Amino acid sequence: MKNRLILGILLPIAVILLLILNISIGSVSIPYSALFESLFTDSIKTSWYNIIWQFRMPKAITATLVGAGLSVCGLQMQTLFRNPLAGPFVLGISSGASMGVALLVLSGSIIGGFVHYLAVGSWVVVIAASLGSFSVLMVVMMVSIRIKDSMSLLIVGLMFGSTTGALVSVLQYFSNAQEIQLFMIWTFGNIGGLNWEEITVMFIIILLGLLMNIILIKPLNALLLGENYARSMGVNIQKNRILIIISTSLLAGSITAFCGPIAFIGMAVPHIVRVIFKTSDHRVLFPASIFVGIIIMLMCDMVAQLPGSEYTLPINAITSLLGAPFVIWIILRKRNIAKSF
Amino acid sequence: MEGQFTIQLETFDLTIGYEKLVVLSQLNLQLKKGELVCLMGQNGTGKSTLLRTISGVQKPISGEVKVGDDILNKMNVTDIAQKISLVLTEKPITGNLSVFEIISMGRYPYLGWNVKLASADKEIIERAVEQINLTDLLHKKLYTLSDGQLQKVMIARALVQEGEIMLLDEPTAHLDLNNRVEIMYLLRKLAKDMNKAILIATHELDLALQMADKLWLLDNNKRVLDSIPEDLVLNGSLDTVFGHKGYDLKTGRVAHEMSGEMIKLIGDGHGYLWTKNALERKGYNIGNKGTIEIKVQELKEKFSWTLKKNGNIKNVSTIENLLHSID
Repeated sequence: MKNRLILGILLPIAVILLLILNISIGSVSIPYSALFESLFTDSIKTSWYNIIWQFRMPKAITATLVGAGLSVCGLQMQTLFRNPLAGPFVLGISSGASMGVALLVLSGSIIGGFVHYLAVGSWVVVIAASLGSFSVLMVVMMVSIRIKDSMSLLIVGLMFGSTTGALVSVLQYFSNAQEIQLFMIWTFGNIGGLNWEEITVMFIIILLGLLMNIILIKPLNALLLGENYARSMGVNIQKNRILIIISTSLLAGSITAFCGPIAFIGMAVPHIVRVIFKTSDHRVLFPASIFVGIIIMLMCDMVAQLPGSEYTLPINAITSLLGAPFVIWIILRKRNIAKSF
Repeated sequence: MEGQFTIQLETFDLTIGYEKLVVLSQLNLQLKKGELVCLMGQNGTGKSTLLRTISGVQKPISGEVKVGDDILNKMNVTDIAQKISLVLTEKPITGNLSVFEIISMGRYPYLGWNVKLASADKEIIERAVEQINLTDLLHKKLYTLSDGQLQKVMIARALVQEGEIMLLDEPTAHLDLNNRVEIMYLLRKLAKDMNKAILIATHELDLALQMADKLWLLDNNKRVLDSIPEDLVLNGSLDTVFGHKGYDLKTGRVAHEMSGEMIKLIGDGHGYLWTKNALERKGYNIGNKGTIEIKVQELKEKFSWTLKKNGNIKNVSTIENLLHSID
């Protein structure tokens, strides 16, 4: 009952309040009266209206999608691999994306100087990142059809991460400073660079990835007892593993393509949720991860804004800065991760 | 009881193993309702491979397995789950599930995507919980359970799955004697009362000999001997397979090297038995005559011993003192 109260009332209210708070914060201070007027009426065509609808709203919506998507990915990966350290990117999705972007941005010196005009978040970068994660994913998929146990899959994913990381290093070695800076900026992550068109595409993909989880509740719950038990309870492991990989790639793939790599949210949020709700039942964990993911991501974004200043810190650094101490705190409090996992 | 001792699972010329390695061949085995069968054999002779094959995880090299009227390899995972339930050696790594949640997972083969329990499902779970005596543990978290309790929870989960067949892989490993006996009693009760066909892979020879209706004994020649335990003891098959050193199967006792003197032991009942046990461990021969004579007396549930040695008589009140006095 207590869990239902938190899940059904407290968390949604927190999400709405944080959304409003998030939109109200920025380098230009906008009074709340003007904020609400801009949100709910079309009447004032002021610069405030433009700031809210062209900059702050897209960023807040992006944060919402990122928080929800990555948290659910993390949850799926942690249960699939029965490993509390797993996150959305263990399958090599972000490594693949960074490789795609690196090839696009850094190969300038080798192929020619046409890429200097690229801005982070533009369609060319999105497509490069998508192609990168997609090619890694195809290999992971092929491996997952061939092999029987998920642990090998985890290792294959991690190996891909190392390999692509090394390839990116080689590319960087042969690139000039300007290109490297462009690539570095991509790796900082950016949730403020999307226009409404891009947000719509991202929203559809993420909604699809999230909806898939409705049919994954039962297999993921069964997987908590291990693959052999899950199979003995009528779960088709091979089929569901592929469904989980598809859902994770839709979510993590689209987020990385549009916003760059965003660390830690996916790994930390499921742990926070388990501590709050004291359960491993995915019927609770899925919606709860979505809400808590959104809340944490909105908070990280507000911290990254450095309220009252003109600077914006890289979102990827903030999520790690806030996420790491949180996970350490959980482990210290519980003394043993298995108790809450 | 109707349908008692009908065949639930049968193998026909089953050969199992891996691509280039035959582990066991030409198996024609039957598992019947209401029967508790223990699967025994040396490590590495194929117990797990056999369990994996008859539970549908692994495909046989040749031959087939029939479950009821169906051929195992043509059934889908849900159908198999409704017929066969497993208790495995692997421990769930999540500690955050409650006992109730784990047991209710046994109903998964019958539930839809949202795993909502109908009242009929809840009744089945309730019955199993009462039967296995888990009512007090129902809302405990997994990480607070002892190994024995966890095993009972996993058995309850398997029971709730309502298959006619239960396959268990070393359900008593890592348990103390009390828990081992309790689990085996429980499984035997389930076989008899619920008319289940239960197969247990185990190393507990002493318990298997006393509890199993039948043994499937993996000999060291890729065959399985299917017989009742007593016959396997008397025809020496168990000795051949396990090559026991120092354990006499026919008496069910550890053999001691007898090098000491003859002792004449007088007495009866438990006092006699345990005195004999201690003396034999020390290497004395027990018989009807001897240079040393020991008399066991019992008075109001208190034991005392009278030792006659070289004409001296001594009374002691513990076996420990008795052994000291003999030396």
